[in-house]
Amino acid sequence: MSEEILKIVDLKKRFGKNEVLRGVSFSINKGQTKVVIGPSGAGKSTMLRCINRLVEPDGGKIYFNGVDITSKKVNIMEVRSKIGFVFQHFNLFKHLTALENVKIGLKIVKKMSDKEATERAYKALENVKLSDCAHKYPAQLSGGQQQRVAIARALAMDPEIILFDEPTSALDPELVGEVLDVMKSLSKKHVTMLVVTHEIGFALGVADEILFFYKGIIWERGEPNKIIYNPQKKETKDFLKRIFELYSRGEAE
Amino acid sequence: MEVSVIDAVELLLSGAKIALILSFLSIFLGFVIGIVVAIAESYGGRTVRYIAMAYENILRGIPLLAIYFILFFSLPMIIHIGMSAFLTAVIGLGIRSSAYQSQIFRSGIQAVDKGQIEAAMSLGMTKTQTILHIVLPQALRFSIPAWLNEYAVVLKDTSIALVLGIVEITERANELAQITREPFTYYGMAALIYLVIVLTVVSIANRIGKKYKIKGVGGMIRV
Repeated sequence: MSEEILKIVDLKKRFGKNEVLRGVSFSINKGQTKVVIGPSGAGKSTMLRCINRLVEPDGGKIYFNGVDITSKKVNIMEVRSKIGFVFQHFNLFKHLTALENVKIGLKIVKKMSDKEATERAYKALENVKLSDCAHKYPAQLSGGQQQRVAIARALAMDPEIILFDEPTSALDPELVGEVLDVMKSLSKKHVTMLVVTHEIGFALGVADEILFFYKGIIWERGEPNKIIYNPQKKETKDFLKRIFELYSRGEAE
Repeated sequence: MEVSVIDAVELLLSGAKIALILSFLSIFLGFVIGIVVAIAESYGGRTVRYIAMAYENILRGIPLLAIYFILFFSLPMIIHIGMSAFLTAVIGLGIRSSAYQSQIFRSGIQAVDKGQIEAAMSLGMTKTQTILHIVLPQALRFSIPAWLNEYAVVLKDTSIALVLGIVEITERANELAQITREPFTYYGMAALIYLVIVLTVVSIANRIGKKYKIKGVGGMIRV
């Protein structure tokens, strides 16, 4: 059996009266890619943010390499440095170049020397095919390039898992491909990934499992082909129908 | 009474020197305290936040003249420590400016989007590291235009230090005007000196601002 990196048990979160997560449980093994789909408000983003405790969960347990990281005793900063996070709106540091964006975590969190950090940052930028943009500032890059820098920033930290929060939703349609290509190549290299996305083609291509979130729980889950082509529940069918109508691009049909 | 032009200019410039030193020391004191207050208001716990807000509001609510009188006349009666007129002028102007500067920096801090803070935290940075390396470098750049404005205010308000007996530009002009009975000439020259100092400082600061401007982010340092 392969190594379990992340295990989530009965995760709960509420904002005021709104129960966003009502008991979510699943796990990811090393090298796996899991894709989370579901309508907005289903709790997908909140679930991701609970995993590195950008949002404090109200209940349930999150085990990262077997350690319960919801415990107050855990050094959450150290845990976060091992969990990559890629945001919908890239969230690059605007006063730093692409290279410096990738370097800053290495220098400040990992305490690397400037030379070592620079070498590693260049490697990460090469991985997302952006070494020629190393000295450009975020505002000088396209959305797709910015998101690839953000992926490089996460990658350079050598994380054990990368969480993606709708990484292509804020992009112009013609820029989605370049970001998905990078993510596909990561998945092929067996980088462990948990991806919230509406890109059904991506899910079909690389996911080991699809989790369909609805009303704060995992409503339906299974292999990509099964979930996409043969969903069992009405809500899953309705959701996929809406996605297909929106993205009638062929790859998902 | 006759005063030669050279003597008059010399006198006014000696006043200008005092005004410059006073304004630099005050704006620097205000900068240091202002940043601390802004950080306390933005990131502090409840108590710290309330203390910082009280400090800011009290100092913004009292006229500079009253601050001077309190520091110079009232305080020594309570704590029995007298300060020199010059030190009183620096501290009074400095703490008042700190209240205004804290507002400038606070709005600069708020202008840094939350997403970047989340990104820094998700890399594993502590709150302090995030403030130092991500928030402040951007917040300070956003603050430059308003901060230059504040410097101009501080420089001009150095003239109020004359109530403490500090002889700066305005007081020199006063003297010259009384001796010669040519108020228009000397107050006019004094005004001109203030103007030259403000424009010089602004143009130097603009050059620095341009050098550190974030590439591709809109032109915000025109003054």
